[in-house]
Amino acid sequence: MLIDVAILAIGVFMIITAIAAMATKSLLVSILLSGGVSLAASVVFLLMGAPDVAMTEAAIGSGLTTVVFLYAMARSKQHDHEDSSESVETGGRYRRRGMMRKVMVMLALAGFAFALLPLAFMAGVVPEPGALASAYLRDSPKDFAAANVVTAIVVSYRGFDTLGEVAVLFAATAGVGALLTRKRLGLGHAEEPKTEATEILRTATGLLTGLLVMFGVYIFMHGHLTPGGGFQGGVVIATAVLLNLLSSPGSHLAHDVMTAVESLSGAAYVGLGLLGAFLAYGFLDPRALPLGELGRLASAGAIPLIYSAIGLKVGAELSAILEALKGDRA
Amino acid sequence: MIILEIISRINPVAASGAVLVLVGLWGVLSRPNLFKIAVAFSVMETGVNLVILSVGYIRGRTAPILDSAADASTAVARMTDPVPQALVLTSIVIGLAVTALMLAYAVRLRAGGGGSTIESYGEEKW
Repeated sequence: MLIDVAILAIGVFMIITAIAAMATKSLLVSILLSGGVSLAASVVFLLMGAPDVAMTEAAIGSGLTTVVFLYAMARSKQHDHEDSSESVETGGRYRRRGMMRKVMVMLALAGFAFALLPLAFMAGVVPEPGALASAYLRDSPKDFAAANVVTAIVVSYRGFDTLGEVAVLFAATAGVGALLTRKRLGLGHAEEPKTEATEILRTATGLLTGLLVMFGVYIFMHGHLTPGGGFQGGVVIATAVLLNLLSSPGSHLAHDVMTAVESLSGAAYVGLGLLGAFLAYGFLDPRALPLGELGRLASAGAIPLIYSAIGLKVGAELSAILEALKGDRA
Repeated sequence: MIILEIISRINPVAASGAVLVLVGLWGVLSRPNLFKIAVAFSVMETGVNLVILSVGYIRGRTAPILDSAADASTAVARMTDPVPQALVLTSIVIGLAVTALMLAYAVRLRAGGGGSTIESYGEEKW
C-alpha cells in the first residue's frame, strides 16, 4: 500500500516532467528532462521488484540515451532554441494549418486514451503470477541452477528472442554507422579544431577506464546470481569507451579490434547455442555444460558464458554508436 | 479514506505509464522540431515499458532472484512475475539503438541542407 502511494507519487513527478520536456522551447532542457523521466522510471522499477530492469533503465534510459541526444545535437549544430532560424519562414504555413492540425491531434489523442486508459485503470493488480510465470519460478533453479530467474528467461527459456534482439541491435548500429560517415555528410577530410579536454578529465579517465571495464565484466559474469547481466555490463563498458572519447577528442576507436570483439562474441553466442543443440535438449540450452551448485559463480551451465558473449557484443555495438555520433568516421 | 480505496483498486504502474504514453504521443504529433520528436518518442517508450511491466506487478512481493528473502521452495509464493521483466529488459536496449538511428537520420537531413523542423520536408511525403 505504501509502495503503491510512492509509485503514484513518482508517477505524477514523471508526468509533470514529461509535459515540461514537451512544452519547453529549449532542446537541451527537453533532453535533460526526459533523462529525468527515465531516472524516475528506474526508481519505479526498483520499487515494484524489478532490479534488473531498474539497472538497465538507469544506465541506458537516463545515461546513454542522454549522451546520444547531446552528441547528435552538437553534431548537427542544432540551435538550442528550437524555432530560432528556419521555422520563421514556415510560420505562415503553420498558422494556416494550425487549427486543423490541433483538431486532428486532439482526435488522435482522444482515440488513444479511449483505448489505453480503461486498460490501465480498470485492470488492477493481479494477486499472484500466472501459470507460465509460476512454472518459470518453480523450475529455473532446478532446471538451470540459476539464482536470477529473469536471467534464466532471457538467456535460456527465451534465448532465441534474445538472439533476435541482438541481431536488431546490430542492424541499428550498422545503420547509424552507415548514415554518419564523413563522406556521406559531405564534410570531406578537413579536421575541425577540437577543444582539448581538461587535465582533470584526462587523469580521471586513466584511473577510471580499467575500473569501469572490470565493473562491466563483473556485472555480466554474475548475471545468473545477482541483478544485472550482459546488457547492463555492456553499457558500463561502453561508458568506459565514452570517457576515453571525451578525454581525447581527436582519437579514434580501434576499428579492427571492435569489429573482432563484436563478431567473435556473436559467433561465440551462436556456437554455444549450437553446443546446446548437440549436447543437450535444444538450441541455446545451457545444460550443455555441467550445471554446478546453485549460487556459485561457476554454475548455471552455459548461462554465464552466453551472457558474457552478449555483454561484449552489446559493449562493442554501443561504443560503435557513440563513435559514429561523435563524428570523424572516414 | 476514499482516496486509499481508489489507490488500492488501480495499478499505479500502469496508470503512470499510460499517461506517459499519451504525453509522448502528444509530443510526437504536435512538436515540429526533429530532435524534439525523438525526445517525445523516448518518453513514449518509457511509458510503454511501464505499461508492459505493470502486468507483472504483484503487491508485497520480492524481486525474482533467489536469496535469503525467498529460496527455491517459497519462490512461487513470494516473487513477482519475471516474464514481463525479461521482455522489457531487451526492449530498453533496442530503444536506445532505435533512438540513435532516428537521430542519425535527423543529423543526415540537417547535413543535407534541410531545416530542423518536420515542416521543411513537406515534399518528401509519399
